[in-house]
Amino acid sequence: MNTENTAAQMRKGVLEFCILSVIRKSEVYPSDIIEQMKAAGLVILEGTLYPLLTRLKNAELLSYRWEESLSGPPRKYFSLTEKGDKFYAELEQTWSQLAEAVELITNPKA
Amino acid sequence: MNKIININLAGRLIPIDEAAYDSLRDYLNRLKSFFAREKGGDEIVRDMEDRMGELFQDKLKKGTPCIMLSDIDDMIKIMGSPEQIESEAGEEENFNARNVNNAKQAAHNDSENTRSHRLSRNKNDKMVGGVCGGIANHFNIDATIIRVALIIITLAWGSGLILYLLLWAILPEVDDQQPSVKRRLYRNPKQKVVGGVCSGIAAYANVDPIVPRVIFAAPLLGMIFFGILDSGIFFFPVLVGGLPTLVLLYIILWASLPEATTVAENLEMRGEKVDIHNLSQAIKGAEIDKNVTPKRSGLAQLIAVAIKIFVFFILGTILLALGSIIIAALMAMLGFTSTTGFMFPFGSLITENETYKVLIWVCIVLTLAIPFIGVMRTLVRVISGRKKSTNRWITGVMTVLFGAGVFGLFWIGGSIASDFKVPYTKTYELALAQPNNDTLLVRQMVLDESGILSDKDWDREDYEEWDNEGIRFRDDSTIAISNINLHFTNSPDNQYHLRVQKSANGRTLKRATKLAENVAFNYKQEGNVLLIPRDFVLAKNHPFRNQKISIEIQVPKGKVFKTEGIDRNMYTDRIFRVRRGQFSYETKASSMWDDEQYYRMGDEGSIESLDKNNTDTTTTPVKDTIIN
Repeated sequence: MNTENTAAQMRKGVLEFCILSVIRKSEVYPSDIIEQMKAAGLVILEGTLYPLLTRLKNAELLSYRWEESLSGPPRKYFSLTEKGDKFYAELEQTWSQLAEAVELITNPKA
Repeated sequence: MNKIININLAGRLIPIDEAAYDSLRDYLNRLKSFFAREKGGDEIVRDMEDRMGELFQDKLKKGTPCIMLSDIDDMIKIMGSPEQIESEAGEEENFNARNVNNAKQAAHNDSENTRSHRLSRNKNDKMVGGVCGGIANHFNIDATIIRVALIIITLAWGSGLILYLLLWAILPEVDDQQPSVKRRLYRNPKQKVVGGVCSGIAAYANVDPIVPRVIFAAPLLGMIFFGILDSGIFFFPVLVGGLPTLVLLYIILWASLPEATTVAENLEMRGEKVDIHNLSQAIKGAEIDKNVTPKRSGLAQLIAVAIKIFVFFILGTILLALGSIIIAALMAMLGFTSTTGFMFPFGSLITENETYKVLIWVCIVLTLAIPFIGVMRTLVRVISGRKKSTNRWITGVMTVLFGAGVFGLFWIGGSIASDFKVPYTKTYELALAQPNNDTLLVRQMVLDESGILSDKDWDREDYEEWDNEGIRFRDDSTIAISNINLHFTNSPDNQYHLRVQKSANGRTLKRATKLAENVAFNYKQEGNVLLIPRDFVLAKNHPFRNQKISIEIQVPKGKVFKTEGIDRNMYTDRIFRVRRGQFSYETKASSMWDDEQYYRMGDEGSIESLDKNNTDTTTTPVKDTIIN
């Protein structure tokens, strides 16, 4: 058993949460999301993003609109729906609880 | 020099190298099939295409004239392959679904594996009962090999058939839906010397093609080598026997094995699983193969060329031999004279009608050849194992021809039989000079090659040369039959008499009379020696219609006769009758007289044999009476 598998599982768990977080801050298009996540140190394959976005959209957590761009074809701009907002709030709570628990376990105060 | 094409990638115009285009298209297809089962899968791929287009355009702006293969590779590193995406973004349910699928697949494979380990009959791969297919499946061998082995066993020991029926009854039938991973025996047309049989076998058995070629050519090479060396008495019969067997085996395999033309068949031939991955690799490999000629060692090439020459030589000789036999048969059939003239005389023996002769031969050929061809075709079909739909037309035509042949034979037979309907006999009294010493010697006439009375005296040696030929073929293409019999009876007076009965049959009395009168009885008398012929000649265009000569020699009381060189067959009366369309033949033996023995006719027809050294004054020693 190698770490890659477990590490990938860890990242997979938080991906949706991170993406929702980025979109929540402002309306963005996909490559923007990649940039922001890269800047924060979370490197993912761009290909990973698209199926996730579509799933979130199909779950009605996201919505998008088309915006004409000057250089090239129109782009999708994603934003959180109301349902997405509620979903995010729950996830945020889950995450903080989880993070705290993990922190406690891995770094026990003497 | 490369080809550049322009593509429209999500609304962007991208110039792209041909090789890069293939790679890109391949990647997109993989994405499409990967996301096919996901809801909104097309949208995902469209979005990804959009992003790809963006990346390409950035590169083009930086100065690259067109997108190359390396750019595609870079792009895939950024986007990720479907498998990588799966591991990063796979949904929970998809993950579970995948596991379940894998489990199902594993279980399926397991059950199939256990199935092929139990010996069973295979419902899918069956020609008769599926026994061979089941055995092949069990041992993972091509079914064709099992079938050939079974046929050889049946032909050699006969028990193969019983074994087959036994297995058919015992083994359970199993429906094997598994796509065949097993290897099939094909002919390999890409590497063929003669028919590709050897390379097919080589590919199947995973050996170099030279190996089966050497095996097939071994008897021939062995014959040549051993013939030169003049040794190996042990090997010689093995090789001589082996050569025609192997040649026949090669021809049978050539006829029955299918050619591996498609890529899928090529894969099957090499025993590799036929799936998308292997197929695409095989196609690529095939294209590469075309460009690269296989390098073989010089020696192997030399042997290959030598084998090629030998094979063509042998095949050519065989074809020539067959051809000359066929030509000779045709010529004989059409009535050309030849010194051997085997078939021709029989024709004119049966009928003088030329049309009939041809018809008889045609019907015989049809009746014999067509079942033979039919059996061959069935054999080939069984061996090949492929149920190629038999051409109904051919089977129908063959059956009709066969029926016509049989019908023709019966019809001609009936027509000839009616030729024997009416018998006719005529008796002649022939001139006979009375012997001056009251002893009549009846001697066999000796004819030399051309049928002329020879100068030689008859003697024992000639007698032994004559076997029991009933028919003699003369040089001028006429036929002589020895339907003659001889009787010695009591003379009504004190004179020797020679009476001859000529008989024949015909369709009408007129014909019978004509045939009987045309029978030539050539006898000769020299002093007290009566020379009678062994046979008589049927004139040309006079077929055999039971012509018969019956010789009656009447000996007066107290007088003596002796035979010299008269064969015992002369004392058998052959009666040939046709009644109600049925032929009947019987022989009636009359009194036989020992050769080289004096007999005196006594009272009431009783005949006593005399001692050679009989001092009876009425007899005279043999030597004095011989007149040349």
